[in-house]
Amino acid sequence: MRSLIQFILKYQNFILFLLLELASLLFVLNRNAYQSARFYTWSLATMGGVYERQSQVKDYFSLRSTNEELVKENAVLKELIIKGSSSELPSMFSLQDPLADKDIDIIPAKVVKASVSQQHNLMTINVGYQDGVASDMAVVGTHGVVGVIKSVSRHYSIVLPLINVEYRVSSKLKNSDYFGTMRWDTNDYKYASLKGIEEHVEVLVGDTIVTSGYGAIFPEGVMVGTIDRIEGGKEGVFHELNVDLSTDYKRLIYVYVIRNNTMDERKEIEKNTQSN
Amino acid sequence: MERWLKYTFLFVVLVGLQVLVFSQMQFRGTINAFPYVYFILALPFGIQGRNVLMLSALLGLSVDFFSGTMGVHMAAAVFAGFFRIVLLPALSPQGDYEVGTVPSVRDNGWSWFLRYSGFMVLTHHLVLYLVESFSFSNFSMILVNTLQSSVLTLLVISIIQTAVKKNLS
Repeated sequence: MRSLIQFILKYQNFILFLLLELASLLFVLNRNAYQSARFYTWSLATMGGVYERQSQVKDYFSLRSTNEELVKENAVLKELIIKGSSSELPSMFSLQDPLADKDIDIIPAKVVKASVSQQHNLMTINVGYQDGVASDMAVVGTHGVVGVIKSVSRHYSIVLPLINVEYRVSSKLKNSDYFGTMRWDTNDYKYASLKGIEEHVEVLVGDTIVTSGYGAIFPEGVMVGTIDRIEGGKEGVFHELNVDLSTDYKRLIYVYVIRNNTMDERKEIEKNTQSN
Repeated sequence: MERWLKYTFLFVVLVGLQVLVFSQMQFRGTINAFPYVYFILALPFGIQGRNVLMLSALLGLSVDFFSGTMGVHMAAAVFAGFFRIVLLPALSPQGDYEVGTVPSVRDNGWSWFLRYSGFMVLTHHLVLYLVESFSFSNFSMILVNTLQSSVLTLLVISIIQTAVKKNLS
């Protein structure tokens, strides 16, 4: 017994070190997108105001380019109104489903905090459940897909962006409708990869990738990116497609949350069918 | 001023700067400066090992709390804290460190300070990037990130050392 106590005293620093490392690694290992988003919301309650003020300062420096982008977007939308056709809506909101059309609300939001350099990137936007945002809603930007709402507080929400290793979005080739899974495994916030497109499907560099609509979160046809590089898969069954993401996560300031009022209904019926 | 008060102040300032300024600035995507590790560097020579470890854990947790990276900074900071306990005796000059001084350029000179903080920063950043990616699959990228970010952090720490003339002791 005495020798045990002596041993502990002698190596107390090392033992403490091991215990603390163990604790932190447990934190890391138990982390999943949901938990860290919850945790993050908690710290937001205290820090949200500070982040917002900080982003106001940052926005000031990008006013010009943001303005230009909004004007361009406006022009496209105006043109559509004049033409009176909804069939050729631009990348952002091509909601071809005639039923879905009526049941979709769009909530504008501002990004107050975002990371692009980690593997588990998260993003904070300044709308919360007070504004009608709930988790699992789609988030899009001017240039297309951004991510999905993961956690909400009163005034803020956490977005799990496409550039998070835990995120998957069902996507398809716009011209041929073949679909696969988009995931971010490139570590570069500009690129992601699309897997699950069979080798016999003809793909070209520059082909457009849009959401498939199968995932229930994103409506069909929202722009994701364009094919940047084609690599033959090692198994020779699937293409490995490197996709140039259309959204520039580093310069993202304004986004739109898509509130799909039929989503719950759809989820419910899908769940019921599966469990039967 | 009481010494612990100065360290509390340093702690708050470094965590604040890290979360509000340095974590927001990304150079070429993945290069980041983590000057909060300076707090571990600057603890006085005589401090007990377990205090270094507990303070490091607290420091890492605080940064984690505000950046939504549960546990990552804590793991790196605790590792750096333990490394400090091993490193300081190894780097000790002839005789020993003067009682009551802190590791600094003023007391120990540039060459010693850069060696000391170089080892510390490299260790901290390596663990940070390892835990962040949690695999050795792209080890070369982790190494590149570690080296580039370490240079940046060292630069910031050197600037702090030059700017802050007043000593912590």
